[in-house]
Order: sequence, then structure tokens, then C-alpha cells
Amino acid sequence: MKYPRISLFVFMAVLLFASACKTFEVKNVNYAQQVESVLTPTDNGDVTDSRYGIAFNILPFQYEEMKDSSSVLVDEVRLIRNQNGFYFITADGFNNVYVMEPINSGLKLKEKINVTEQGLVSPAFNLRSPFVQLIDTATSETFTLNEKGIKKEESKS
Amino acid sequence: MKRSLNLLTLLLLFAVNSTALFAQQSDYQIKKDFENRHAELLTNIEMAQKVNEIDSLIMVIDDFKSNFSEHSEMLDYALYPESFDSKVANLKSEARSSEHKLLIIENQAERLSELTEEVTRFRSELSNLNSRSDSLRNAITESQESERKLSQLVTRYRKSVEERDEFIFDMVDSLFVTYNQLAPGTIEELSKKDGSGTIKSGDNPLVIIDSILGENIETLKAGSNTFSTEDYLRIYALQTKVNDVWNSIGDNLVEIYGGNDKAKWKKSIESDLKDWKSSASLSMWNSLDGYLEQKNVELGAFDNNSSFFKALDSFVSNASKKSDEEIISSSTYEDFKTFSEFWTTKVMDEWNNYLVESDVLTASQIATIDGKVDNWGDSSEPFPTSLLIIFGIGLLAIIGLIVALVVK
Repeated sequence: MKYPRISLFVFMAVLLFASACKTFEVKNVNYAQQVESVLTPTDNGDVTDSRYGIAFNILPFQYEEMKDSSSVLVDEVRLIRNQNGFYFITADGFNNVYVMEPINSGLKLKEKINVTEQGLVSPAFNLRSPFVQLIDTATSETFTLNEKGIKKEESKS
Repeated sequence: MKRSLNLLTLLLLFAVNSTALFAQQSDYQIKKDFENRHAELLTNIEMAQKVNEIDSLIMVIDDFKSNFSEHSEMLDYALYPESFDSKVANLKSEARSSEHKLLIIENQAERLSELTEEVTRFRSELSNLNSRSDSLRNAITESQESERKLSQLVTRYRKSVEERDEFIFDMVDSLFVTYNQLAPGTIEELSKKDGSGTIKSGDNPLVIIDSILGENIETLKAGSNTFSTEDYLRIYALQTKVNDVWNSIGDNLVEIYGGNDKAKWKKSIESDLKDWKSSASLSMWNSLDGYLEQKNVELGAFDNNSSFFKALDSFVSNASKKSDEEIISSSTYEDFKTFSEFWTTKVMDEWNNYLVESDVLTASQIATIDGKVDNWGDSSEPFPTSLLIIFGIGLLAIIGLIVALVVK
């Protein structure tokens, strides 16, 4: 150990620098999308939201929901993002709302929220921060959701 | 009291239910409704035919604004980069612009209706003037009367043609004022109106213009023995005026009144204008040349505006130069008197309007020649005889004085 003190100093400096880089973060970012996106799938099931810059395929959701991904069975995909950055995705005929977390080049299921057993007829999302409101406009059923599940069922007409 | 309370309860329940229903609306759907209603109102504004329709639409826009105002914050976000206020402002701006356009069109339609009445009056007046001129012309041709009687007929005929030409001057002015200021879009609107048959063929300005051209070509052919140079200058000025007006409003008239024969109308009128121009020009220059020859004013050859000015300028300059070279004799003074009479009575007075209106001579060209004529007058004036006598007596006195001194 010719230069033990210098080595220790360099090690500490690198550690400090690395930890500083790693811990740089901005808090209280609001990812909320004020109005839902209504996306029409292509024949391949691709949906693109050009305003918010996201594109994915709906067929994995459809398979998860209906066990069928041979063809596109949904007319419109409803998508909204809450203030914590989670995507809430559903479509007509779905029983569930999929809460997805953005990951590197993908979306990872955070929560699958079961809202009905009959299938949503005409779902729509509203942002009611900090919650996301789901309405089935055909039945006037409403659900207040967050990334953990249904917060509270408000009314049934 | 109880009944009032029940009514109030009912109203409150209705209000609560409405709010509940409203709360279950999708924001996306509200945005779509807003956009659809906006597009619908925009279409209604574009399709509006009358100013009062636009006035009603402006009230509907106000309702539209108040109906959606509670969602304005959400709509500002959803409509980005536009906003709730900018979309409503856009509607109002479109409505105002359309209202302005419709006001102009309604005003133009009113003016068109007035003009149609005026054209009807023109047609009947023109027809009277033409038939009067024609009957006088026929009377001249067939006249076996005395020379004095014939001369009276010729004078009446010329007067009649002059009245008709003055009337045409006024009429083309009226046409020009009406059709040269048509607002963009109005021509298309008026064209549609004409297409629907609101203009009778006899009241069609194109028919009137065509008949004017035909009649004038005929008048020039028939009137070679009866017209004076002033008549020909007036006809040439009239032709220039009609030509200028046609160049300004001809396309508009053809567009509005040409119906399915637009190209045919344009070709026919332009061909007649060309014939009239060449005929009026030839007659006018020949008559002017003949008049000057008759007055012993020997200008060089001329057959257009530019060569006429050059001939005049050169004639006056040369004559003035010749006068300058003469010291005591004044052989050019008679020439000056002849030219001066032509210049002051004809060019500066009787023919002046027609010469300038038809660009035979411009005002500045007339002023140039006029200045030279004045100089010529000064230099050609003969030395007064009384001065010559005084000069002679003075000379004799001096000679006498010298002789007396020498003798002494």
C-alpha cells in the first residue's frame, strides 16, 4: 500500500459522484392527461396516440381479456394517464381496466381492475385528479379508479 | 305555500339529477360535441344567404359559448393549440366577415335591380334616338326637297346623332360605376342570379352594348356626307370611351350576363369594338385632314395621335422660325392668322373635349403647341406703318441736319 490515502480519496470521490448522479431526480411531476385518448386500432391491432406520443398493440390486451388475438375485436381503445404516470387502458367489451406502468420500451401490468362481468358497452375515462373516473356511458355506471384499484363505486343508475 | 314548496323541491330534484347526469358525461364526448357544434355553426355561417340569418347565428354562437363555458378549462386543454375562447372568437369573426360580405351582396343585388331598371330605360331611350336618327337619315337619302330643306334635315340628323352619342356617354359611365366596383364574390353571386333568369334578354347590358356597337358602325357607314369633323371627333371619343369601359368591366359583364355563351359574347363584342375603332379612326383622321386642307393649313401627313402632334409641332415651329427671319416684311402673318383661327376656335374651344377625351391630343401637347403659337404670333406680327413713317421722318431729319452742317 504505497498511496493508501490517495486511493481512498479517489474511491470516495467516485462513490460521491456516482451517488450524486444516481440520486438526481425531480419530484412532483404531473403526468396527467386531462382528456382521454380514443384510438382506433389498425387491422393489426396497432394504436397510435400522436398527441401524447405512445403507440402499442391492443391484441395482447384483447387476448388477456377475451382469449382471442386472431383478429381485432374492439372498435375503440380508451387510454388515459393519471398524474403518477400510469396508463389506464380499456375498450368496449372488456370487463377490466388495465393499469400499465411504462417500462423500457414496454408497458408492464400494474393492476388489472375488474369493473364488470358483462363487458363495458361504451366506456370512457375522465381525469378527476388524483383519480381516474371510468364511465360506461351506455349504462351510466361510474367507477373511481387509481393505480391500486377501484377507489369507490359512486352510483349505479 | 305547500304547492310552491313542492314545486321548488321538484326543481331542486331536477337540478340535482341534471348535475348527476352531467357528471357522468365523458370529457372526450363533450369535446367532440363542442367540435361538432362548432363545425355545424361554421357551415351554417358559410351557407347563410341573408344578413338576418347571420344575426340569428350570432345569437346562437352566444348560446353555444355559454353552454360550454363551464368546460372551458378542459376544452382549452383538449383543443390545444387552439382554445375554447379562440374557437368561439373564430366563429364570431367568421360570422362578422360573412355578414359584411352578405351586406355587400345585398347592396349589390339592390344596385343590380336598379341597374336593370336603368338598362330598360336606356334600351327604350336608345331605341327612340336610333329610330329618330334613322328616319332623318332616310329622309336625307330620299329627299327631293330644296337645298335649304335638305340642309335643315342634315342639321337635325347631326343633332339627333349627337344627342344619342351623349346619351351613350352617360350610359357607359353608369355601367362603369356599377360594375367596376363589384366586390370579390359578388360577380359569382350575380352570375347565379342571372342564370336563374331574373334578367330579361332585352335588359341584358351585353345586348345593349352589342346594339350600340352595331348602330354606330352603321351610322359611320351611312353618314359620310353629312358629318362634320366635330361629329367624327365626338364619335371617335365615344368609341375610345366605350373601349376603355369595356376593357375595365367587360369581363365582369360577360361573367354575369354571358350565361352559357360567355366566349361567344366576348368574341362578338370585341370584334365589333375593333371594327368600330378602325372605322371611327379612319373617318376622323380623313375628316381632320380634309378640314385642314380646306382651311389651307398645310401640315405634314398624319394618321394617328403621335404623327398628328408631330405634324402640328413641326408646322408651328417652322412657321415661327420663318417669321423670326423676316425683319420688316410679314408674309407669314396671313398664315399665322389662318392657323390661329383654327387653333383658337376649334382646337382650344369646340373640339377640345373630344380631342382630349379620345387622346388625339393630350392636354400637355395642346399646351406645348399653344405656347409655340403665341411665340409665332409675336414674331410674325408686321411692323406698324405709323412707326415706319416716324422712323422715315426721323431719318430724313438726321440726313438734313448732316447736309446742313456740311454746307456750313
